[in-house]
Amino acid sequence: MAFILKRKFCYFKENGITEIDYKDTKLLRRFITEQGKIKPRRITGSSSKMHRKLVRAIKRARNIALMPFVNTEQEGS
Amino acid sequence: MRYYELLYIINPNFEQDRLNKVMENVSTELNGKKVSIINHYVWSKKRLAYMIQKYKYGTFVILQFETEKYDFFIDFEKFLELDKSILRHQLVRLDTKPDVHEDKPEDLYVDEQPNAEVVEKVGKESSSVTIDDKETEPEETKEEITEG
Repeated sequence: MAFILKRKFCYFKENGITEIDYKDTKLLRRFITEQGKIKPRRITGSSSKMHRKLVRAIKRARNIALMPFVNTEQEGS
Repeated sequence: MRYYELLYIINPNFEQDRLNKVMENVSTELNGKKVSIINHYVWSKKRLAYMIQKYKYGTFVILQFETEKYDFFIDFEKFLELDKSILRHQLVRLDTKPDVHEDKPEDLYVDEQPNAEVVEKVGKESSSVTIDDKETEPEETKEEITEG
């Protein structure tokens, strides 16, 4: 069997993003699952430095109700 | 000098007058504490990700300021907690000096408006294409059915 490796890349490095704002939910939504969990670094491919900043931003957004802790809309449907 | 950002959610049922009163109360609380306010504006009225005090929506207000001392933060946060019109607040330290906000609506965080326009345009194009296809296809099928 031939495995096709998908090239992983740091989204932030590609787009020249150095600081992540917790109010930018459009960007942060890219890095959470449908349930609302933070995607691991091995899937997103982001560098450890940016992943730490990302996690902090997502947790801040959760505290101020911009992002969900758990997406419960899936359970009802 | 250190820069801080306070984001707080006000009761969504409040009108402009009551909203301004709450914002004035918050800014007066900082008076006389060697704080210079950079920005203080209503960000937008948003749907909350989860319900807070049985409210589904909230008016988000941003306050950015700079100060040297931060002894009064405990009292200031206590004041915000005790104010019933403020549903939730978050005080964050900023690394860089924030830009002065203009009255123009920012496109960065508004993810609905630009997409809606694009969707409308794409929708019109795609619908026009699909209509053409539908016009041609059903006629053929009808003819086949009638022939059969």
